Amino acid sequence: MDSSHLKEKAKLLRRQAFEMVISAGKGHLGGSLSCTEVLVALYYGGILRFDSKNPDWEDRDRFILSKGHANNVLYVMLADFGFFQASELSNYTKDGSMLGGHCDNRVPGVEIISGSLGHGLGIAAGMALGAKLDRKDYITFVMLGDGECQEGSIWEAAMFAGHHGLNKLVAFIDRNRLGAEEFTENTSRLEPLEDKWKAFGWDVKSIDGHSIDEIMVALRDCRTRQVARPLAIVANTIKGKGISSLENTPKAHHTLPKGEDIIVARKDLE
Amino acid sequence: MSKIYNDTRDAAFEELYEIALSDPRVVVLSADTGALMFKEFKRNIPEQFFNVGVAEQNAISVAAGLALTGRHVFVFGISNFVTLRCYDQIRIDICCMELPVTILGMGTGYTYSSDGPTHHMIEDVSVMRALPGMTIWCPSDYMMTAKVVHMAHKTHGPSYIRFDKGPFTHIYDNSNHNFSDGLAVLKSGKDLTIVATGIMVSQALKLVDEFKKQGIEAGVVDLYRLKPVSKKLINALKASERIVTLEEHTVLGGLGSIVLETLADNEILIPVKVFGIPDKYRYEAGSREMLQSLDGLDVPSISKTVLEWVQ
Repeated sequence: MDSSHLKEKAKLLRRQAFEMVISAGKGHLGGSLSCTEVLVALYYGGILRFDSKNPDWEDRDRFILSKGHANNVLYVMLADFGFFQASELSNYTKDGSMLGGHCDNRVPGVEIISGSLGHGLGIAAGMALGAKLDRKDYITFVMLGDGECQEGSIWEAAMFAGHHGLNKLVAFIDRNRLGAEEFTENTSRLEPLEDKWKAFGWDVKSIDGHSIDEIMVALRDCRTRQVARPLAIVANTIKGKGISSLENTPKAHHTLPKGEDIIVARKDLE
Repeated sequence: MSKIYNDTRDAAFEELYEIALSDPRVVVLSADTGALMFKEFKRNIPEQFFNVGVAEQNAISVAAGLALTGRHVFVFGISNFVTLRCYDQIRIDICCMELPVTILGMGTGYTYSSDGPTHHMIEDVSVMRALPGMTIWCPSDYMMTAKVVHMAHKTHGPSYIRFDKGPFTHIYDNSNHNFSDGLAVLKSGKDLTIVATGIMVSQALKLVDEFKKQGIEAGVVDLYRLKPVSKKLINALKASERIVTLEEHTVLGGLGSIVLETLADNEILIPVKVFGIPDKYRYEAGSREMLQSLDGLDVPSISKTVLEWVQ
């Protein structure tokens, strides 16, 4: 899929995710919208190696959404690829649905359960180490929230991955600069964030996380990197991207547009 | 397996080394905690042993990741730090995903007596047995430690071996006990049954002799698998007129609670006395024996309390 189609796909997925959570009456839309373009580039841009008919394919790349609350766009996307029936999306978080408000590895296409922050990078590092021991060439991608990087366990895992030179491990940091209640720099400062990752032994790239083109460039050599370092890509994004009432506001984390704002949001997403 | 061991770590890791040699999908992670055998792992099977440093949360998450690549992972550390410090990782990464990861927690109870409350592991049974799917063993001697490592290797889901550094009485060296039972009736006695676990089984055996002098016939049940609890415990509890439970662990949620729950669930009305660590931390520096006597867990104290109760 070329760049313009990827951009269109991102728009479409945003609209579908929005309708899913509005129907459910709950969701973590803000953090889902901020990482949409990265997900689209990975899944539709020919980066991620997967087979929706065989989700457990041994040589697939692994994608871990460590910020497991941000599953809105991911679930829509997995349905689009046929990992499960698209009709399941209308049951999102409803009684008896297999799709809950956080990632669950019982959902086809989802690698791990996530929702408690700070776990995904360590699990990804274990997977990447396992791949290295097995002489496999698959890549383990992991999406971290920037607020999640306030968890100490992230840095234990970062140190470990750097120490072991896990160069088939790629971590995105969705740098939307917001936690659940506040801007990260007002609670426990993350900056200088890129320097932190470098200091832990990672290669670091910083990009506009809403630019499909920049994401694709950043990932161009991810499969052929020879350096014995994992790769961190700081994706500078906007929480709630695409919905004017949510963009760059703390309420974007778990508050959904209501009343008139729903109509405005639908227009925003056209 | 007929080797006689006199050290818990030797028992656990010599056996684990043999397992790892025969099963390349076994990986051992140490949270910077040592054992003599790790030299052999590093020398001969370096891709199956990693010291991950002082980072227990990451140790568990990495173990989960490795398990997701088809491995059985053993995570070794001081028991406090490989359970409480990383409880959320155990709960979510291991238990929610039902992964074959075995946690080897060394130094339970007052093993590290003079090191103070940071190293007293007195709550692990309570919290670990609250985790769905978790199998828990609490070996009472070296031979059992060696054998449960093999059983853990054959367990598909999460498991926890809480092992004491001892010194243990050799209880099972020459026995043919099948450790899949989950408990062993070491002695029968019509007056009293002492249900003990781990290091306190040795204490229970000493108590039997004390009680005998007083004309009381006491039996001993070694409940070495604390979860899932064997159905055989029900009959073992019915064997005498009174029950004493004995553990070097908080009285809240450990062996005593397991026995009380079993009695209640099965509508068995037999008087019980629970011996364990009271609901408090011990800041007194000193030997294990001293701490046990402060908590009334030494043989004379237990004996006195029980005799007053019985007579």
